[in-house]
Amino acid sequence: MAVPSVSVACEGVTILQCVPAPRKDYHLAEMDGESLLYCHEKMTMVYLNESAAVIWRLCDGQRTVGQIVDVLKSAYPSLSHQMGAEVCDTIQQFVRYSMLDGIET
Amino acid sequence: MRQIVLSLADQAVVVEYPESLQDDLRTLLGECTNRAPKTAPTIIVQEDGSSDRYILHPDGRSKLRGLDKGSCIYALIGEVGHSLLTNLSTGVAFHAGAVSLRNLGIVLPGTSGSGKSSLTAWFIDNGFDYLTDEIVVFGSDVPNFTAFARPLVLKSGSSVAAASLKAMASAPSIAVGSNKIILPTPEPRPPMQHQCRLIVFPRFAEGAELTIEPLTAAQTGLELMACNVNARNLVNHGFDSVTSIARSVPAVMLRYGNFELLHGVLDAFAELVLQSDLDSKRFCRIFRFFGTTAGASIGPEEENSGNLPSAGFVPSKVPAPTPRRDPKKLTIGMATYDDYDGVYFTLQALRMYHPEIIEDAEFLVVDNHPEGPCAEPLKQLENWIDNYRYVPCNHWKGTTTRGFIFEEANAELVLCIDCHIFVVPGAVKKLISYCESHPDSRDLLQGPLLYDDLETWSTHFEPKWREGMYGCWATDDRGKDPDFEPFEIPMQGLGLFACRRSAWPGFNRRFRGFGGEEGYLHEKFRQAGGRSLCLPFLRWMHRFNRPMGVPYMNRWDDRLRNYLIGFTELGWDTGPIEEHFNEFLGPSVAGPIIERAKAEIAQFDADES
Repeated sequence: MAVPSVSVACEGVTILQCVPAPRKDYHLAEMDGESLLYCHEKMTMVYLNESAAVIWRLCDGQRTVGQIVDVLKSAYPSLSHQMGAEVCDTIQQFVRYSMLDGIET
Repeated sequence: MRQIVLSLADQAVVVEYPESLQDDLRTLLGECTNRAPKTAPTIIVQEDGSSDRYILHPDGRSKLRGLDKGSCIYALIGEVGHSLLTNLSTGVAFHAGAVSLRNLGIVLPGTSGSGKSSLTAWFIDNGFDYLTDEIVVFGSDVPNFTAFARPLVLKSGSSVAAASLKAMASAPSIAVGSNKIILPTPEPRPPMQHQCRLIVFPRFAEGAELTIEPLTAAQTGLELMACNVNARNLVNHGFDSVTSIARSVPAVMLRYGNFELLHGVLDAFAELVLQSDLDSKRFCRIFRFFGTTAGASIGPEEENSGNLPSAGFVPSKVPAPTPRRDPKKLTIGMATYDDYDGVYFTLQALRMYHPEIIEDAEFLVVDNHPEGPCAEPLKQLENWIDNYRYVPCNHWKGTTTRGFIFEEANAELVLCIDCHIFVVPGAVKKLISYCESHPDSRDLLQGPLLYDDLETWSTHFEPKWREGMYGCWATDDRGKDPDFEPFEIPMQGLGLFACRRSAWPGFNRRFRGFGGEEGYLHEKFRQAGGRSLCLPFLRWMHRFNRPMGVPYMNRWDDRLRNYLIGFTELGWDTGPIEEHFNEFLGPSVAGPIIERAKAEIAQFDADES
């Protein structure tokens, strides 16, 4: 029996075309660049370091993942070669914790 | 009957107790003149037939019988704390120690086993005032807090050094088995407010170097939330209060391996911070620029300064423990080290084939490698299983981790299992029924091991030496019929055992690594007045083969050392151990191990005397 792989996608489109939006039941506290998110229902707290917090803030239900990558590439050109993979990895982690709408495993 | 009222924040609890406990309770808890509100819960302690045994009636719950004085006070202190927290909603409460210097407070939050009581003791020994070792409450006027002024409890897992600190050794105390209840202040103090100027998260690990790592506000919030003990009473589980505290108060993660490392470093550091009145942000900015000094390092390395740090999601290096939930009848606890598959199948088999006990059970997984690859998947099971609790544990390693299960269990009956066993259908329910009909049992309860053919079984170990192990599998025909009455056995493999939490005698705190517990634990129960029983219905199956290897070290010197320490503690002759290992490993291998272990034991005795 095959093991279900954890990959991120939306129906019929690639991950870069997905439009991630934060789930409403996560409460956010921004703290000196970092963030804490708390889900009351699941009693789960998630700590985001500065870079993950930046990506989280860009998941606004308006931008596609591809657009988020573009925003960060232009803000941090020296890291542009790795930005696509880093953003996708981070979003995959968000998905694993069920923190996003508009994107599924 | 005498009465005492104990309070914390806006909560109070009334304790009624017999005259024979008056001196001890007055010494340890003081006299409180507060009048209790009419709605305050009452905990009643009664003599149980004679003046040296007691019954404890926690408010509205089943009673605990047959307790000696020390056990009664120990359980009472725990029940008082529990009662005070049950409806506390005017502040956010943390599982934490606290000390003060010139009325400025240091809070030491930590889950059981993190070393907060030992560190509290160390601070007292270094001139700080004792506030609590258990509960701290922050109200709306952050960063002020109130501490639950109970006596300090050094559990069997606490650092040996803590009990022998000068301030602890000279204070009034009561021994409870291998635990110790100590009153480190001249007299108990009523709760009063202190301003919190520093939060220290202790992480004790035997042999660890000293590190003092400043935490950001978000990291502090994450750690604090894991120690919140009244979340269910609070709006958003206290998230807003926790983040407010985290922003206001500087915090550090303290890792240390012994008290010697702390002298002249932690006390000086604490005094400096207490005088500074820094908030979390300024504290972090300043202390991150300190580099490593001899024996101590302060601050993590800066990441890719000036650029976006590599985009990463960092939930936590160690997953946070699942918050405690309502008490159940039975805790089924298992310790694991990088064995996700074992935990998964053990747990899900229990849920699938024992549906009748699901509502009554807490499933507790103690992760002995919480930095490892299985930690996060184990943690995530909490999202799927309502009564599942994940607890990281890197303070205790090896065999003694099973003792931590008893510290974390929320039920009076604890079934401790390996994370790779199956239990036959119906057996867990029968175990609960058996224990309900034997509420005073102080016995160690086990059952027959079923082999992979599902037909043959072993009921016990015969106390014989074979291939470096004390105990050889053996079969008593009385175990054939699952309905046969329980019978005494000399010893048995510890892949599955159960007992009342209050009857748990604990492992020797000197044990290291794996091995040496079979026979030792059985005799400890017997020496404490219990029996070692085989319940024929409690049949279980164990995965023995590990074709992919075992991810932790199982060392002969640890096993041999544990045997020597355990037998010495029990007053047994250690001659047969030496004889067997000299024959099995050869004198050239066993001899030096035995010599080293004997020297260590002699040193322990010298230290303790």
